[in-house]
Amino acid sequence: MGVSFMQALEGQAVKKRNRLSITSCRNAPLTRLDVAYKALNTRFLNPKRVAPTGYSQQFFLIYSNRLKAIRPAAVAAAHKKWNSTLNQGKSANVAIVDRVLDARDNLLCIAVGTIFKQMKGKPDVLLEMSGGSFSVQQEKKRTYAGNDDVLMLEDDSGRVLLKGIVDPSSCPLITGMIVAVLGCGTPSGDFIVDDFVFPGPPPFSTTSIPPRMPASKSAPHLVFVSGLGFGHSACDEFVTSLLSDFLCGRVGSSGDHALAASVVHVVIAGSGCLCPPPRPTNAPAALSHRVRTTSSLLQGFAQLDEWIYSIVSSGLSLDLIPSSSDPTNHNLPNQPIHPSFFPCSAAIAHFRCVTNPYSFSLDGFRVTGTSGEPLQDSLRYQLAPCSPATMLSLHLQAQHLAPSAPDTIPCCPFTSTDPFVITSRPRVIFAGDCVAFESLVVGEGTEKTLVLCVPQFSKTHSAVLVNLQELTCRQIFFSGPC
Amino acid sequence: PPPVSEDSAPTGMTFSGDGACDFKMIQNMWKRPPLPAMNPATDAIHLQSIDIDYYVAQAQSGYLGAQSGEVPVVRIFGVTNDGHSVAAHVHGFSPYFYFDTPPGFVAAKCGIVRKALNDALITRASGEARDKFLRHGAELVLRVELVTKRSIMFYSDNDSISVLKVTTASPAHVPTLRGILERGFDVDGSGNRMFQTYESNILFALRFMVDCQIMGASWLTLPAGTYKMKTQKATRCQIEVDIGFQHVLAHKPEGEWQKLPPLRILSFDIECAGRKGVFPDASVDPVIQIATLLTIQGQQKPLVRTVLTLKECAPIAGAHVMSFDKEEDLLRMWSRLFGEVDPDFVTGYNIVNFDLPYLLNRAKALKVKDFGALGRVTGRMSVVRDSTFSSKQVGTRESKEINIEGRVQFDLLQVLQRDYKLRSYSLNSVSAHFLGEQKEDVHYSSITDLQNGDAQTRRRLAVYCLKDALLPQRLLDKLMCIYNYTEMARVTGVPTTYLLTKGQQVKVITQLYRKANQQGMIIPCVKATVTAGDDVAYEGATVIDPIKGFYDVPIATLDFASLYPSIMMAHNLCYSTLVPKSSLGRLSLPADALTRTPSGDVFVKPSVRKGLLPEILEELLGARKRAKADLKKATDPFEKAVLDGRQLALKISANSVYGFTGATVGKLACLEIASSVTAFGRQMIDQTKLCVEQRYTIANGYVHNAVVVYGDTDSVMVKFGTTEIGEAMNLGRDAADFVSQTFLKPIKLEFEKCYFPYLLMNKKRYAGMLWTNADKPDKMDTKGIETVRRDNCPLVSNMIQTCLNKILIDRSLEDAKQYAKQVISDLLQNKIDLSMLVISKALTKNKDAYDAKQAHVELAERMRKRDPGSAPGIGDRVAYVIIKAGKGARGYEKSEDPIFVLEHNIPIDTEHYLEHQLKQPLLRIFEPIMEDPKTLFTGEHTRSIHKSTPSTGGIMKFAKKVASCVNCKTTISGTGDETVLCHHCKPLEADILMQKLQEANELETKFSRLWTQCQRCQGNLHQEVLCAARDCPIFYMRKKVQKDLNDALTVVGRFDVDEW
Repeated sequence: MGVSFMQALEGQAVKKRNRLSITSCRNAPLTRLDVAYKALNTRFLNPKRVAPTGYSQQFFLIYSNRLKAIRPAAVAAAHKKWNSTLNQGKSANVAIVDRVLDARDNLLCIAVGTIFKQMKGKPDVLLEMSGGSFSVQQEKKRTYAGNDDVLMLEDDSGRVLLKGIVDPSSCPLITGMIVAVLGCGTPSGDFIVDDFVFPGPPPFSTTSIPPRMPASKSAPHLVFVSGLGFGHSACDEFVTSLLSDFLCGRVGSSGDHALAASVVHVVIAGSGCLCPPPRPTNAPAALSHRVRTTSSLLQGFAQLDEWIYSIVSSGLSLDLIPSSSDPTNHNLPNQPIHPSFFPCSAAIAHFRCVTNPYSFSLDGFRVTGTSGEPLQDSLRYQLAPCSPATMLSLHLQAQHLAPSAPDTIPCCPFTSTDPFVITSRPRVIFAGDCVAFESLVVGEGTEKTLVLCVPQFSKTHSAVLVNLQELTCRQIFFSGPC
Repeated sequence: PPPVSEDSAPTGMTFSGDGACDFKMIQNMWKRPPLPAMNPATDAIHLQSIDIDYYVAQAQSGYLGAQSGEVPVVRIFGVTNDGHSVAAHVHGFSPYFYFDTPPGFVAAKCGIVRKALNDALITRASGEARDKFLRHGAELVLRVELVTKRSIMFYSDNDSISVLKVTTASPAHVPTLRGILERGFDVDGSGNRMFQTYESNILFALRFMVDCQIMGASWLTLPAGTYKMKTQKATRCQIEVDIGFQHVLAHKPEGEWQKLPPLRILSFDIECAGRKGVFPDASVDPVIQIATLLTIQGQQKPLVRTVLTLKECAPIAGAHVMSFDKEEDLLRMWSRLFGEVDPDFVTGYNIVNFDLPYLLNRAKALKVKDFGALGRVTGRMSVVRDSTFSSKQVGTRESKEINIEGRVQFDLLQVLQRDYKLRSYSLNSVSAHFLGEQKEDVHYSSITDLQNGDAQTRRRLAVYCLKDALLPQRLLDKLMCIYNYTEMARVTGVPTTYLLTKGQQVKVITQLYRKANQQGMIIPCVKATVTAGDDVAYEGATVIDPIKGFYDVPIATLDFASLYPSIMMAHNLCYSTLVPKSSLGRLSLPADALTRTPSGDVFVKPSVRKGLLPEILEELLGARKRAKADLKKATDPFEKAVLDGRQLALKISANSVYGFTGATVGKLACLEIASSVTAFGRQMIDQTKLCVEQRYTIANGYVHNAVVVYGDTDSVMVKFGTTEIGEAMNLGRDAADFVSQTFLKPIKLEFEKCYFPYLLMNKKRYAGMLWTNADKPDKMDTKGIETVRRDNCPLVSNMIQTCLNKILIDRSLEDAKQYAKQVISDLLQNKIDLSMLVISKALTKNKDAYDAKQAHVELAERMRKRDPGSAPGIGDRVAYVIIKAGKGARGYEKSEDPIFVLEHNIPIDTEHYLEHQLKQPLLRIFEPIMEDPKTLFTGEHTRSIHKSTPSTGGIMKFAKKVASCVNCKTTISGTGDETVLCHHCKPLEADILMQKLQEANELETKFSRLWTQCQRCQGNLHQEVLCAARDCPIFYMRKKVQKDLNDALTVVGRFDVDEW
């Protein structure tokens, strides 16, 4: 193996690059920390893929279930924000109307409902149909937003138009978020907003205690990597193998080895492989049962399988979260990739193909996230580019992993619940497939949640290392010979 | 029921409107602006007339006309510029007509004639009427005068004839006298003879308008001091006056008099709760909601939006909701609101044939007294009558007729059917067509369910109902209906209501009357000699045989501007200039004073006498030229709308004159004129061809020989040979000028456009890129291509459109061929979306009323047997696809409900679609451009065929289900390793799964996109999509994807392992 470099950065603040020299692996063997892993994704799992009621259902129940689930939190947040301050000097609390349509008396009130952002730039089937047909594969625009967007608040009773301080082009409200608004309803069906509030992060569940201090010197670490992109030309196999070598303690200094040994779990947050674009469907008629799939994607999976095997065989546990480019269903939640794609690794117990979104806990330390598509889609609701980490933190504030589903991001038509509601607060919330690494912390003291945007490995040659004890993170870079 | 005071809400009503608003306030919002004090001695009244009719009343003193007995009173309804409604009772105008004098008649005998006619009327009257006549002094014929007039019919050298003008007390006497005179009568003791009458068949209101020079929808002034305020009001108008007819002042629509007053337009829609499977019947099914909007003409948004509901309904933003426990109260309130709004125009979609009759019949069934007081005349109740309306333009239609005096019933469905040729006239497809929006469509079987729900579900229905009331208003605005119809009324001089309820002829005849009146001419009353259907044929327009082909060079189009009107003007063709062949010898006119038309008829030249029709046409076209010039200068959008409406009205009017002369069932048909016009037209087209082909030749120094490739009615297509668009345009202009010189003025050949490239398929069938300037093409222009025919499925028009795009825009014949083959191949392989194959037809009557068995009627019957609830009823459009059926199955047995087809995987009869839908249109396009277009339908791409296996009936009853390999369909054991794939395919598991997933994923995305779109379209995320708009392009698609996706996921699901 040639010369390799591993660089570490502490969070975003430190831009200093430490060049680490390679040392031989003759030091005393290091033992990996052991933590209790628990998958928390049963609500995303759909063993037969077909919902019990099948696809005969529509989408409206998701919205009503979502509102039912989050409304109490929004009401509480509204009381906390406005009724405590307004009370000073005023006698009565501001009333919360039962239904958004009840707010029409020009009196100050609070309404809770689902945001709907009407945007001409949203992909529009009817518009495309006027040209004769619509395409299933749509081009993803940078943004759906325009200057004539309109914000609305609705619940089972109907819709009101939001005006006042909420400027559709700049405010971070997106379709599907549940919020409380303070203001006056007008007879003509408008609502003049003075202020609005998100429900805020949900409470930590009782089991979600900070991880216990292990009996070793170094704190436990969690590694996030996204967009390895096997099978794609952008994938640099050498650098990718450096990552696996690092995780297995095969490269780097003894410090690196110690660090590697402190890694308790690896999460691949989407795009392990990148499919070549699907063939046009109007190719010559299928000669029924011949298999025609080109092998390039399968080759990619063979490489990924091998790469994963090299890690999990060393005893490190690994979760593979799929994204829509993977061979799984397209609608959220994406189901685990089928074991037949991993002939080597599939047999190893601590390699898990999981769902997207995914939740798990390590010694009760809850981690939740997606492979990134819901976040990318939310960003398309903003006219001016917005920080992905900020948007992700708003998902947490809105208690929802994919607010714009099903409006602009496909999901299954759930009928009894909305599984994407964040019911208990995670310590780490992450999104894969981001252009750049970004992080921020929501809350203080023991009430902290780390918000994490995991960069694409194939583009940045970096992964993210999260210190579970300190709840800090840093980007670690890998690079080939210069 | 307890008496309802005018100001209070009825008992049993709950009101939810704006918070700060109560019932009283709404009532005030509905009302017209209050009327300030008026002084008849000093204030003139200016009003724009809305409707003009008459009634019969006891004569009042102080006016002209009969002084006793019953006299007609003309009633003008109108609106002032301040939005006040006016009713003017115009007195003293008496009906009259003319008839030929018996030979040797002298003026002194007039008294005898008067008495004879008067007596004849009395003797012919039945008992009761006769008593009435005698009671009132029996002055039925007021005057008989000997006057000198000229008949409009035929040129003759003695300029005037003596006729007797008979003035009667009542309009009803005119047709009676006409009958008496036409059948034969002894007027002066000189013996029994038959008389020709003149102007005896003009409607009385029109007679009044013609004589007082009042045009339809025009501004009138009632000068100060000439009118009296009516103390005892007979109408619900704010201002009501009596006036003598000679005082009414009419204004030409110029300057300030072309404005429009703030007309009040009421748009409404009703919902009724039908029973399953039965079209709502007013005697049984209740009216549950009425949405009503009031819009002031010229304002962007409706002034008030109200919905009346039966049973409680949750509030709606921006609308007043009034809920009632009893349907009777609901109806009573609506009628009251209607009166308070006092609308000038009543609009909606299909209100004349559905909403209004339903409401009136329902009120009758529930015995709601006074509901029918919708008109402006106090005490007159609106009633429904059946009527048949028949005109050459729109054919025969059975419809309802409702009297609502003083208001215009502007049913948008009728307007659209009159003015536009569309594929479908459902409100949904009309709004998709004109407003670019799909409309949520709730099937009437779910309406009852929503009504039986709670306040929320009824609110949902109310929102839907409001939307349906708003759409007609929006269409009205978008299509500039009010402007266009007002201008048409002003140009042709008939009241706006006539434009909607009568045919084309009244427009022309009124103009003819006005013109004749000015010139002292009278119009004979001729009976239509030919009955409808028994058309006397005269030769129509000519068509130069097309040289079919694909032209990749510019084709210049030379058009005759207003061809027929200009022929009539140039050759002075008119009733009054026609020289009957019989009198040709007697008249001994010099040859140069005559025009002998190519059809052999003779007319005098303008130098001898100018015709009325040419004069009318000159005025119309002159006015159009002015309107167009003004339109260019105008900046104010309102003024623009008016002027554009006017120039359009003028154009239509000018063009309808020719049709009037040729209408054999018409009031004044004159085939000599009509056939002369077309004969001249044919001659001119031929002459143009000759001129062009003779002049633009290589021999004359041009680069190419010009060829006329096609000519039709008023245009000629010339191939000058050049490939340069700019040069072709110059040659076109040159040719137009040159050829124009050879014609009489004002006939003018114009060059307006080039086609390049140009695909000439057949007579009246071509397509091309249209250029009006040499820089870039304006658009694609097609004629006679199957895009609007409704018995075609959408696949045809889509395919033709795409083929033309490829040929004309991309200029690639090869691509077009490939595309056509691809579609055919997709069709055969069942890959075409079902919605593309849906054909629809309206179910207009009961099954038994149809003569022959028809596909859609049979299907409706079958659907009713399956589920009476969702089956189409009379009036619905039946959508169907053609399915495969057993050998010998009749055509009408092969229709099936698309939903049923989707649910049961029924195979489509793809050959039928290929043979009967695609083949002809495709051959037409490809014939000019390829050697053997039939090869499109044979060959490699047609060999792979996929037929779906039906899941019901037939052979499937005997089928047994066994597990088979997902990939190669080999039977597998279904246990152990072989649960999904056979052992041959097992090694390829990932590969096969990937493929299956890809198929499923495409469907998943499709599902999400379609259903979220519906959720957005209905304007609500939290409620179920109920829309059943079969016209919507995604209706079948979203249904199909549900099924396909479930199937695809079942396959994928088979791969899943439990422990993973």
